Amino acid sequence: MSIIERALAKAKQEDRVAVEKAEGLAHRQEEAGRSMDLAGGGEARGHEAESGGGGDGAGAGRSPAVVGAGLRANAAPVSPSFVGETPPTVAAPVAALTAERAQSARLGTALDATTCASSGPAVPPLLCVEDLCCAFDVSKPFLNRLLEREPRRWLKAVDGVSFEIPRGETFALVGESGCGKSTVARLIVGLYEPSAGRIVFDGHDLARVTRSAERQKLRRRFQMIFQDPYASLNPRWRVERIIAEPIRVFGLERDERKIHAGVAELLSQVGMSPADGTKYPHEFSGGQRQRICIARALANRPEFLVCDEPTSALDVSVQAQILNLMRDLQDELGLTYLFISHDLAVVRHMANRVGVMYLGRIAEIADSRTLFARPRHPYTRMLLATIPSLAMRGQRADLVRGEVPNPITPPPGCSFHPRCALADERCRREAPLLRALGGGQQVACHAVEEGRDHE
Amino acid sequence: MSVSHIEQMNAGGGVPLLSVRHLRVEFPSRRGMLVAIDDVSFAIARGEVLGVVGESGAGKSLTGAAIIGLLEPPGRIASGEILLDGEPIHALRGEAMRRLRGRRIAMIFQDPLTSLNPLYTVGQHLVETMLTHLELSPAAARKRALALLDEVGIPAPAQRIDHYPHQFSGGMRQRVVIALALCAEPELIIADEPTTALDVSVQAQIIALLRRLCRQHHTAVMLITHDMGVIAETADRVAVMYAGRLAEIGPVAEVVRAPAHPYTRGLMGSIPVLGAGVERLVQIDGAMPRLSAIPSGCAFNPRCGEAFARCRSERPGLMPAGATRAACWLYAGDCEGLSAPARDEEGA
Amino acid sequence: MSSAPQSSPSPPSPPPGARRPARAGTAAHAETRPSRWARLVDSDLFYSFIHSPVTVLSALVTLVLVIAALLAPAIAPHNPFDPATLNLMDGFTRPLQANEFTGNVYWLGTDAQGRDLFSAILYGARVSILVGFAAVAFAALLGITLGLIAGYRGGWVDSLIMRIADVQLSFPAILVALLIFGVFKGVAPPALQDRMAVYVLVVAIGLSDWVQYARTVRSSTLAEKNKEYVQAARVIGVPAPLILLRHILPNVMGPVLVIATIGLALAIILESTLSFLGVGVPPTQPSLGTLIRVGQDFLFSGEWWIVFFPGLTLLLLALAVNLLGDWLRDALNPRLRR
Repeated sequence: MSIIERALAKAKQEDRVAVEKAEGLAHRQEEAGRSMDLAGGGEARGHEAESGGGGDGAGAGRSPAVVGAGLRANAAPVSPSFVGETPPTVAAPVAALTAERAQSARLGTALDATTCASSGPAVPPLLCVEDLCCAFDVSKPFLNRLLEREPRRWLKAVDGVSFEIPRGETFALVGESGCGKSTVARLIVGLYEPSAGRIVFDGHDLARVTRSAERQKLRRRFQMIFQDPYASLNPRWRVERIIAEPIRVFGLERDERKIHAGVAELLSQVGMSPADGTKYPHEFSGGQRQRICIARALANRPEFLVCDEPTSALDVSVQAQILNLMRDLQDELGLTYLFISHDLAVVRHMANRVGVMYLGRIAEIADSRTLFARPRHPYTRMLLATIPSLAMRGQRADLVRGEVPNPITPPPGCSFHPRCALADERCRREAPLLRALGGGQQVACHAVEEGRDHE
Repeated sequence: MSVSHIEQMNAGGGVPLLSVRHLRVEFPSRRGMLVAIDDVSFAIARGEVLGVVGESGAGKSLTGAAIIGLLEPPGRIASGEILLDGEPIHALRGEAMRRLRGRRIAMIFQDPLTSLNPLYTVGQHLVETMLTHLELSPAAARKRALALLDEVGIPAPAQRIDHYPHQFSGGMRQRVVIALALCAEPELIIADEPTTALDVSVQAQIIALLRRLCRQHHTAVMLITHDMGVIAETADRVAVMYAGRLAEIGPVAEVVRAPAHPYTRGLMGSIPVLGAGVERLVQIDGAMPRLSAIPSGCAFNPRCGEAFARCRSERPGLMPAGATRAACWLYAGDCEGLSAPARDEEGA
Repeated sequence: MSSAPQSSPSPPSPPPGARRPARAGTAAHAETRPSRWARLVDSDLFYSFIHSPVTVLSALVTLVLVIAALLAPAIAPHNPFDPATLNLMDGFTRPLQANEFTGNVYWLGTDAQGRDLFSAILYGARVSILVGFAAVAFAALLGITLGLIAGYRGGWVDSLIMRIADVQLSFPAILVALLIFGVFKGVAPPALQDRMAVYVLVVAIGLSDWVQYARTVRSSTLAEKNKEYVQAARVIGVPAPLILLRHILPNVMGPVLVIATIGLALAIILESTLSFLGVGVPPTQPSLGTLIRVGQDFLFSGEWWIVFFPGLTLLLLALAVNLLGDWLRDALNPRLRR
């Protein structure tokens, strides 16, 4: 697909979005409505998918979409349209995956991922991530490859992740090592460049914002808290300078005294004394350092905080302090959190919605009550089975099997199939797509789709 | 509280396998003598799993290191006794300690990658340990090594026995380390945070494996961790340490369901629990004191919501508190007008 | 503080937005902080310094020599390079013995032209130390800059800089300095040669030594750039040069200090070697090396002091600075600290 066609397709897509927004049409009903349309909306979708799958993948052109808008008032989003749009700059494996998705989309069976353009009721979500991919080059040096005749090797850390976060909520990403959740966090804040997919922050596609002044304006609205409190603070800077850095960088305040007062207020907001500003980070304990990190993250008054395992390196009692603090701040300041963790109990306490990741893909998304009460994906069930408790002494040994495989050579098809009791031939061949189940729950599993999971 | 009472309670008669009495470990530094472990006493019966839980800086890893004789100088055991099967081992040096270590007491460390020598195959590790401690021929040792690898759940042990540590994944490596610890048939295994560096799904498997094997081989385990959930799932009794002292010790079901010591209560309350649905986690304000600034009296008193005058001046010893024993003046029999009697009813 | 056991119902949570009470543990620093000097004296570094007699002695020797050399014009009894004050009859006076002709007593004797050796050494040490410091500063500046860029950018920039460094390392330092000097001598007009010689010497010594700064700084940068505080700065959009200057540079300076100290000794020795070979400082500003060269002609004819004292000074200076650098390296190494 040539550059011009791609640009045209994008332009058409944006036009459609603008029209729909102007007309206040709801494209995606709440999940209950959507699941009802599994039967009813299938035709409209199939029609669309065919015209959309005609090779240019351009979102079905303008007129059919607008016509279809009336039909689609209650219908599912136009997901297949974005599949073909991913620029072919990434190496073969990613392209193959998207081709596979386009294929199943054309068959009209996929009911799947979030699309940022047309999601939710009239208020757009604060963050919308769509089909995000990030592949790292882990090939051997050029000379070695030449002599040993080895192809390039890619580590697909993030492989088609889509979710959205409404304003004011906490969305958690859970998974074990190698699942890519930290990579997703860093992609969103701009520390890594995505190989494919879109990140839409409050309606702005981050990839399209290239001018540094505009980028800075967007950057001011989000911040990040890191995992290691010992490495997150520059050991040579005093605490006051650390916390004031975002204020100075974004030019929010020029007067030194006002900056000093602002830092003092931030310190007391996170439960420390303003006199702590003159000290160095090594004079503080882990929990206090994490508070300083939170104060720094709040300095530029962001709306959105990405928290990458903020309490994993802390003791349990300190973790409780920090989690309580984060919740209080969210209530006070109306923050939106993306909370990354491997600890399910913490996630249950903090999050409204939870996404479970495995080897770069999302296995299940649901709101946290549903996820913990009725997990559907076999991996989610396995994870929940690992939470130790007094009641389950000695009964758990057989529920958990195997280990997370090497992300560089993931298993084909569904990457969980070597450890799954419900795996069959289709699971070994074909990677499942994320499907909505109703009640806000989305699961990527063939067994669940085929009803084989006995529920 | 006399030490013999402890041992009776624990062992149900007979000599306990490991008995630690009034252990005190000090580190001389230029700011004075730092006491890292202060008058700690407990006992482990044969085949029992004792969990030692505490936050960082509480001294639990040091206790394990002191028992097996791996204290880093200038740290030293200043006073107290460690008895293995009735014989003192705290004063053993050199060759005598080496004979003990590995043969009667084994240790599992936190990081499986650095616990194994990367230049030796897994088989060489196992065989060497067995040849050092047991009277076996090399062929018999190798056969036993194969059997052990199979027992810990390594698939295809006949091939993997000749693999190097870097060819195993993290969970597999920890299984190898467990096999290594068990190969000389020790009576006690000290496991220092064996699952902290692993993924949660692997953690569950390793914990279950450790429990099963130690039951089968009738080996006692001293499981040192900061994760209360692991203790709840694995241990028979649990000892809670705070600032180098024992705060509470008792059967794990009792300590988890009805903790007596305020620190343990705070600890249990801070852990987010599935299905609890609390708005705010219980938090203990402040932080564990540094070794150079341990408060007088009860070490927990600055952070305790129920402290009174006696807590600030006198250090409490372990005293009975319902089904467990806690170092807290709330449970002293002669306390008047406080909540201690009510607590006994709850915790009983 | 709520501390309900699991069996009883949990206490009601405070209303949202309630301020958290000030914590006892963190508000304990209402008292004034100790002064900077008091903190320095109390630090581990100072402690290890005071308790190492060798280090204290080396520091004293270095300090004395450096101050004496810098104040040479003020404290030297004579100006040895002013021909008007020289008296040929004073030549070859033994140390602390009256000259048979003029009756003057010189502490360290005189050389062939009647120059007071003590003054000559002071002036010579001054030249040596100044050239040494300047060369180290130049090498450090060059090496740190290249190391930061190579470590942070990575990729082909890193490879390029490191290959240049490797090529440079394959030449001995003296050869590099000689090469540069030779080129200079061939290119520059004779009138300027004397005045520019010192600067070219500084550049020559500096260019032969920058590689170890670059390498150390590069490996430290590689470690630091992945740390979260650098990522936090990138998240808020701090541009790369500012990150290098404000965040990374202060954290990689530790090993640089050690290298610089030991490098100072090496620079002084290199300069003396070059002067000894005749290609260093011009004769109008003799350094310790020049004095040694001049003096060695007389070594076996009995006037041993003309070469001995400058040589001894050079030895003491280099040794003291080296020992100081050794201590600094061990003291700053976190792994060796108990």
